Amino acid sequence: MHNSSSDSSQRQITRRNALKLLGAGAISGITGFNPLAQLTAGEKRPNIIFILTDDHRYDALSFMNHPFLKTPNLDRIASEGVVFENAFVTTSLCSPSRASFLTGQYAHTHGVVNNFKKWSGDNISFMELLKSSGYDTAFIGKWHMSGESLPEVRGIDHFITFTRNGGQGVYFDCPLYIDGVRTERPGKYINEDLTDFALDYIDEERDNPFCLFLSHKAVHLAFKPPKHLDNLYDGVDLKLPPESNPFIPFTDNHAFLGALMPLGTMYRNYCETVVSVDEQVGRVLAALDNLGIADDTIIIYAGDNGFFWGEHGLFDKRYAYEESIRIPFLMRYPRLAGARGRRSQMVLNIDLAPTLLDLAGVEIPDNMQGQSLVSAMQSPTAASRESWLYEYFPEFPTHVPGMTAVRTNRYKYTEYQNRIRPPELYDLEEDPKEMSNLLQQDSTKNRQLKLKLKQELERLKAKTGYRFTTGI
Amino acid sequence: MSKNMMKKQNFARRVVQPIILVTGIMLLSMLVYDLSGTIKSRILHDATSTISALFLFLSIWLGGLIANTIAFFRGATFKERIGICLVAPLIWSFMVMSQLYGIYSMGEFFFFLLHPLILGCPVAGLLCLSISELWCRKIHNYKYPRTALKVFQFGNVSLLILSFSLTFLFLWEAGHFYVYNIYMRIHAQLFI
Repeated sequence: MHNSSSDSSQRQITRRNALKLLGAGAISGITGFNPLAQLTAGEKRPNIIFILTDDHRYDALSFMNHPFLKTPNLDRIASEGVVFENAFVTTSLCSPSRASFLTGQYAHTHGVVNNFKKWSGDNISFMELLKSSGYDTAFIGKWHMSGESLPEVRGIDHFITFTRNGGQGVYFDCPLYIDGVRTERPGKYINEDLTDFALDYIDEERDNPFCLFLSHKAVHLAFKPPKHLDNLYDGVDLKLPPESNPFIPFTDNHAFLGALMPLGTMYRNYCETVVSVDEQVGRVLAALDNLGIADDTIIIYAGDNGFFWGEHGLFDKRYAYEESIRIPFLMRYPRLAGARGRRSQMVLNIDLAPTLLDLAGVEIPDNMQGQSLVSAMQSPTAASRESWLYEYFPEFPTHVPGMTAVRTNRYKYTEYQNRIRPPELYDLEEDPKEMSNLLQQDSTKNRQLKLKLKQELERLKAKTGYRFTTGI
Repeated sequence: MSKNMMKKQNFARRVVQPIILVTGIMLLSMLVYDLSGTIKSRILHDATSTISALFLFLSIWLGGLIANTIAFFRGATFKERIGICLVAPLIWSFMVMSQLYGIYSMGEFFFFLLHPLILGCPVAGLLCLSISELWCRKIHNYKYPRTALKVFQFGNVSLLILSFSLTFLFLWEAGHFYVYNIYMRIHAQLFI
C-alpha cells in the first residue's frame, strides 16, 4: 500500500498547482461559480466530510416520508442543507459506484466494472487532488475495490479499512487495517468503530483543512443492527410492495441465492441498521458542533446504490429500475449562499468529485465525466442535464445481464446484453413504479419514442466513450 | 405382496413415478410462484406465493426424502434410487445455469458447474437419500422380518457421512462463505 504520492505524481501536482489559477477561470465559466473569488487570501478552505453508506436507498429516510423509519440526524442535514431528490448512480453496484464517487468517472472509464475488478493505480481520486492542493486527508471504512488485499492509493494520509469477506467486512469484530497494520477489533460494532476513528481524526489539531471519507459497511447484507437496536421495529407494519413475497431473497428467480431469511425479517433488520447509521451521523454532527466547525465543514451523505425490497419481484440491486439506481444525496454547507432546500435536478454519483474540487477551489480535471453541482446547490432552477447514461456490467456468477439505459426527466429506456431480456421503456411521470413497459404496447407514438431514446442512448455512449466489458 | 419379501414393481412404478412426483411438484410450484406476482388480491397473492415457494423449496432440497421412500418400497435398487434422488436437483441446477447463458464466456459458463450452490443441490439430494434410507430399512425390517436388512449398512452410512460433509461445506451460510470464496478466487485466477 502506498499512501504518499509517487515521484511522478509529485511532478503532476506541481504542474497542477501551476495550472490552478488558470483553471479557476475555466471553472467559473462552466459552473457560474468562482471558488477562488470566495477564497480570499488567508481564508481557510472548507473541511469536507463525505459519509458514504452501502445499499441505502433513497426513500429509507424519515424526511422522505418513510412509513416508520426515524432518522433525525440525517433529517437535520436535509433541513439545514440541500436534498437532491433525483440523485442516481451510473452503475448500481458497490465497487463501481464507489470508484465513480472517487474519480468522477463512469465505470467503463475508471475500470472498476464490478465488485471483483480492482482499483487501478492509474485512477486519480478527488482525495488525491485535494491532498495535492493542501488538504489533510483520511479514508476510514469500506474500500472494497481490491478484494482481500490492500489497495494502492495515493493522496490519503490515514487509511483505515477492512479486507474480511472479500472487502465487504462484517458487522461485529471486524479486523481493521490501520495504516497498513492489521488490528483485531473484538467486541466492536463496525458503524461505531469506524465513527470512533472518524471522531478522533476530526478532533486532531491541524493547520490545513481536512477531507474525511467515512465509508460505512452498513447497510449492506447481512443487515445486522447493534444490540441496542435489535428488535426496534418488531411488530411494525413494513408496508412492503404488493408484488413482493417473503421468499424473494431465497428464490431470486429460482436461484436460491442470497440470505436464508424471509424478506420481511431482512427488511426489519435493514431499517434498524439504517437507524444505527443515523446515530453515528449524529455523533459526527455533535462533534462538529462542539468544535465549532460545523458551518466551516461541507457534509455530504450518500448511498452507493439503491436496493430492491420485492419491487419487480427482485431482491438486491443492479437493474436500472428506480429503486436500484436512486440514492440519498444530501449536502450541508451553510457558508455557500442559497445552499438549502430540495432540488429536483438529476444529479449523479460522478458529480461528487468535481463538486468537491469546485468548492475547494481546485481545478477540475478534464477527464472527470461528472458536473459540479455548486450552481444546483445554490439554485433550484439552475440548469442541469436532461439525460444521462446508466450502465451495468455482468458480475459472475449473478444472472443479471449487462445493460445500458438512458434516463431523462420523464422517460427511461433500457437495453440488455445480447437481448437476453427485451428492451424496456417507461414513462416515469405516468408510471413511476415502472410496471408497464410501453414497448409491449405497439403504437406509432411508442415506436417513435423508442427511436428517439435509442438515439439519445447511442449519443451518450459515444460521448462518454462507453464500451462493453465483462472485466476479463 | 408377500409377507416375507418386498415385491419389485415395474420400472415405471418404481423409478418413473417417484421422479415425476417430485419433479412435477417442483415445476408446478415454479409456475405458480411466478404467476403469484400477477395476482392483485393481496391475501391470495401472499397465500399463493408462500405455499408455492414452500413446495418449491421442499421439492428441490428435500424431495429426495419422499422419492427415495417411495422408490425403496417399490423395489428400486440402490443405484436406481441414487438416480431418482438426483433428477430434481439436477434439473433445478440446469435451470439456474441456463440463466447465465449469453451473459458470460463459455469458460465461465462451464465453470459455473463448480459453483457451491450448483454442487450443493445434488449432494443435498444424496443426503436426503441416505437419511431416508435409515427409516426405510427400519420400516422394511418391521414389515418383513424374515428378510431383514442391516439398518446401518456400510455403503449407506458412508454416503450419509460424505453427503452431510459436502452439503455443509457447499451450503453453509447459503453457500456464500468458505468454499465460495475459494471458488471465486479460482475464478479470478482463471478469468480476470
